[in-house]
Amino acid sequence: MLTYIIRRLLLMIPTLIGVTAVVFFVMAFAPGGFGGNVLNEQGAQTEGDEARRIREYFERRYGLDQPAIVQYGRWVNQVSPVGFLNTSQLTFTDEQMQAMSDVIAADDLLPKLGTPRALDDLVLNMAKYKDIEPTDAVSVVRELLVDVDAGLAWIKQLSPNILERDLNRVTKAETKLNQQRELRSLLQSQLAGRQRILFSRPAIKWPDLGQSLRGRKVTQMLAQAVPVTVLLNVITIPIIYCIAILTGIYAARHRGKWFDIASGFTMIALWSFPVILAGVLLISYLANKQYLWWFPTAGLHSLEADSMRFLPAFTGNGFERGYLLDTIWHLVLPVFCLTYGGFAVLSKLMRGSVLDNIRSDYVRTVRAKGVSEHDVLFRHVFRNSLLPLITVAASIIPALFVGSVIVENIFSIPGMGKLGVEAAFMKDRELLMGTTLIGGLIGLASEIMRDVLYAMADPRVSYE
Amino acid sequence: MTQHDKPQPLLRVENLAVSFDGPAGRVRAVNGVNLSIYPGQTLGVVGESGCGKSVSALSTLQLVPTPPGRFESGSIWWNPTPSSETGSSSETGSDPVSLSQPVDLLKYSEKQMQKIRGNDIAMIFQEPMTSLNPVYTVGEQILEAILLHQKVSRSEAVDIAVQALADVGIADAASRLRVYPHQMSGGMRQRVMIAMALACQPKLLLADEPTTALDVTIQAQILELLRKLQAERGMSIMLITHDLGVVAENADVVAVMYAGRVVEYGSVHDVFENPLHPYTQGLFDSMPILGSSKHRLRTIEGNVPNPADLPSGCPFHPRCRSFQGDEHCTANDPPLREITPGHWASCWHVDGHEQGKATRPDVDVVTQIHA
Repeated sequence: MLTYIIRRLLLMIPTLIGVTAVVFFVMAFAPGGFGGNVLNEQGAQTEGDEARRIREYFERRYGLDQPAIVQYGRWVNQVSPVGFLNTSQLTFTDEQMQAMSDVIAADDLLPKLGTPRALDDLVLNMAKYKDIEPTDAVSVVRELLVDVDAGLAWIKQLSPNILERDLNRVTKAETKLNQQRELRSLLQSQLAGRQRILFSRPAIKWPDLGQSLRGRKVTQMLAQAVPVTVLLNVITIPIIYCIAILTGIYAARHRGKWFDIASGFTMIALWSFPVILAGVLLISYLANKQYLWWFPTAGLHSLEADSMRFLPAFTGNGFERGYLLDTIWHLVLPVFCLTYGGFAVLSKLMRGSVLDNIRSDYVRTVRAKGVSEHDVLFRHVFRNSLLPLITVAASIIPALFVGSVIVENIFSIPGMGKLGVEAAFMKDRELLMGTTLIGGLIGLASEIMRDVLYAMADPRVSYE
Repeated sequence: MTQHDKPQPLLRVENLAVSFDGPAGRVRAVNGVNLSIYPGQTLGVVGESGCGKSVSALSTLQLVPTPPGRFESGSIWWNPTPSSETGSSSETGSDPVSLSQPVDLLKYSEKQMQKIRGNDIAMIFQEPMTSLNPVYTVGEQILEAILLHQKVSRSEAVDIAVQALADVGIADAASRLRVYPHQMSGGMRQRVMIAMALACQPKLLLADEPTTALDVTIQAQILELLRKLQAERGMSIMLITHDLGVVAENADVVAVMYAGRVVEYGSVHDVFENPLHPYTQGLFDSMPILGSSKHRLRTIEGNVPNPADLPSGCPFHPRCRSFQGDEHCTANDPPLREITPGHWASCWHVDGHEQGKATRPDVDVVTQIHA
């Protein structure tokens, strides 16, 4: 069993690579490629050179100008726990930084070409890019700046697509010192944020989901969103299974009676009803000021939730609902939207499964032993009937996370589904890949969990 | 029928009729069956598929699913402490039920039946592969029956279960308790089924084609085992089969069934030496005999009639060898009559049919047990 689980865990790696590759390349080859919308958003305020410079910064920073396959390789290297370090992952100690600043300050040329901060920045970027000691990087930078032609040649090699205009700004400058200043500025902008995989530095590292195009760390964003979605599902899944099992057994037990027919009708109706429509209808009737207004329209908490006490209480100002009740109040409609489709399907499945088992040979044997109907149902039929429900659990759980996409968007709940949709809209590469990876992990993990549960429930299943 | 010096039957089925609601309307699967089983006796019930053998046995335990099944008429008298002193009034069953009085199992409630099932009357089934619950160990399933009917502690129940498995010839019984059904062969599972059925020392075992799904060597072992256990415990067995060889070797009394009714009834000796009904004769003719030089076996022409659409009169007449277009056969269903003492048949063509009395078949010979 343990070896089986380990094998399954190892098999997750190629599967995840496959899943992320599909998403990555579909997005990469979509019109506009990655980043389009974010760049527009940021560049829309400025025009011409400024917009272009921002775009170029993004391209360098994220390698958006590279071929898709290279971009994907970089991303895989970045999230893989075993791989190569990235220039952005190099860090220097305070002593190294101080030594570098001292060398720069002691130089005869460099302090004339820019502020100490700009120079530190440039040299540090060079040190990272070339993976050398910061003090050594000072001389590399100095050599490029002393000889302007050599400097320009190096920049051309660094970014082959650089515009003549940018180069001309250096050559057209009047004095040599001004040329060197322009060169320093150009070099700085071309090196800024440029990333490279350092194949000389293989490492075992913490997976890094990178930085969203909008600046925040993807891990941070996911750390806020995933618990919300997990909360929704942790509430939803037990509700689905409880309702499905109870109604399924009851309907099978009283087959052909009014409950069976009525529940069958209701379940099919619920199953057929689209979540999008249900969500909108629920909001417009139950959460509308002009109608019933029993529930809030959106979000997970009221604005004043943070100042609430946790439990509901009666105070001088009357009833205060408290943080817990406030959250539950906000969750009623979304959880309903997430559950009704699931329990409708599972209830029918449970009913069929119970009926199959009730008519089976072993149940006849159990009855012939003199076991009461109650025990026949709950000791023998029940456990066997659960097997198909365990099987579908693996497909229900990922489907719930996908379902959360719609529900979270309708009810403006800041969960993973909403984040994923935003990432897809913004073509935010790192964020999209991050949500894909987490989604894939959840799906595969639930499949392993299904198989383990199955082996526990059914002794005929063994993974030796 | 009942005399003061005669032993009482353990079980007596009277005029049992069971019907099922199906898409083609109501179908009578069992139509006026009469049987009786004496203590220590083996009654062989023979017939083709669908002739009502299994339904008769299931009815005894009220295990016929209702609906779609329905008990139309009849009674099943159960007399757990048969004694020769019992008065003749037991036949009517109208007296207040005392310990020695037969009781009608068909009138029992579900609760009362649960006390009978597995305790006084146990049943084993045809399909050992599917008749055990796959998710519980063999031990748990045997223990369930023991703990249900006997007032014993769990550890005592384990001892009983181990003994029960040892009795059916399973070596290393204690460790076998922890085995799941799928880890056993078909023959082993059938032994487990028998151990489970016999763990509570039932007085009657209903064996519904217990060896049909097993290969021949295992069949012989299982039947040998049943004979041995019967001899040790003196229980009665209703052995349902379509294998005449099995009947010949194991049964004391034979009931041949056709289309939901008993067409011939008598001791094994009588029926096998002198089959009266054309259907029984047909069955024997269609059996290969070892060493005989016949090239072709005679078959019974035609097919088993659809129970929803039985022929008029004698249900066997369209396939009958003796049928020569006589109106008697097509118009009237022949009653079961005692042609010679202790040998019943229902056919208008049997010699002496007119003289025979239409009584309930009842043969109390017990021979095999001591063999």
